[in-house]
Amino acid sequence: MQPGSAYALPGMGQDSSDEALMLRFRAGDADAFEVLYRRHKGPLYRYMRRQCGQDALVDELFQDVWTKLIQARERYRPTASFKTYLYHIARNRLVDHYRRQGAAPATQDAAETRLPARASDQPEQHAQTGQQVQQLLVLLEGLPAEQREAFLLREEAGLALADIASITGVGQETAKSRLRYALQRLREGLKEWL
Amino acid sequence: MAMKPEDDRIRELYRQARDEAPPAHLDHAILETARKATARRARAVSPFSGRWQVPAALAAVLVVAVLLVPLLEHEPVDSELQVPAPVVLEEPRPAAAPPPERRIPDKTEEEAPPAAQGLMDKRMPEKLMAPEQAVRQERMLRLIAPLAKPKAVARSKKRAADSRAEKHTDPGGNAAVGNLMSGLRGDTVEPPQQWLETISALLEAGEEARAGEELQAFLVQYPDYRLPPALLELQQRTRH
Repeated sequence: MQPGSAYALPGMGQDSSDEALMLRFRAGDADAFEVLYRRHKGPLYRYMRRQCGQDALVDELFQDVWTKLIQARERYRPTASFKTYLYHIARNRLVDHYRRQGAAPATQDAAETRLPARASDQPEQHAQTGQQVQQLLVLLEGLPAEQREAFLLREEAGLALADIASITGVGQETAKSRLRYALQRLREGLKEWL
Repeated sequence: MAMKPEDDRIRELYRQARDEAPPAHLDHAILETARKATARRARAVSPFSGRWQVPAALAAVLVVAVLLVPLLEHEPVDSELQVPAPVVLEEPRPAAAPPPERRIPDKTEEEAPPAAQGLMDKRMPEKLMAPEQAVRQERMLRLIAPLAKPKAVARSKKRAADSRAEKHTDPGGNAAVGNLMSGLRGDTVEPPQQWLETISALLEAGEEARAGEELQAFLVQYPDYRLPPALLELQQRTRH
């Protein structure tokens, strides 16, 4: 399900795009914000949760992002897609958090210690898919931060390479390479099941 | 970017992991924040604030002006200017007509506050007014009544009532001379030349006693005014 297509209020009219909703919210329509929020809360929450690595912290950071969006609504201009705008705010909040904490995002070293046992080590095979998913998440957590970020922006936000490059502040080729390396690592980690 | 079949499998697996969502209390807190923010903005952007404040004020002034100007144009600025011309007297008043009573203000009127007294003194003789003018003056008297002495106000009201009653009972003008004399004795001080012409007319009509009384009243009002010879003689005769 792509964000921007699912949630709409009855009687909302033809233009219920993210940008139109944000403009309506800027003009004082709280219902428009609710539609926006319901569209994007899940992907954004997972994007932040899988980058943050600390369950206790993610709620606070997630709320901060939306609060910043609410506070900055008067300055919103639909020059870029709303999703790009939203994930810009989210990324800046994460970077700010890392800077304050003096910590880097979760890395491969931390993740490797939590890798689940391989499926071949398990006596039951019926939970194979669940294990694959779990394995994928662990591998994802172990990716370098830039690669993980590129992967999440692609899979959660559904952003194009150009938007990923814009949000992460790199060239499009760099963004493309990061995404390619991320997928390569995941493939290698899951090769037993692929 | 070219995708390998394994990448599709990875993406499919990842989609199965997309079941995490923010807790409900977080949803509630964020939506509440948005609602409060829009409510504050709605209060701040009232029709008479911000960029609309000055235009709204100007529009209000304009509307008030447009509504008031026609009303002011229909309101008489000075009712004395609308006094109809006195009718020509056909029938002289008998010599026993009551003496002038208001040329010299009585003690009660002198004690009235100057502003109210001025308004009382400027009122028009009701007998020379059109009915609607008399009603308007009576309304004015009610307005200034708190400032004037009760006796003066009562006398003015009585005169207005008498005027209306007389108009009903004597519309033909039998009291024309009385009306004119009442007008002369009224609160309005006539210009000296016009007053002297009236006295001369009385004298020529044989109303010497009335003319003499009027002349005395005139001299009280204008003691240094130079009298024409005929009235000087009348003055001499009146003294004797």
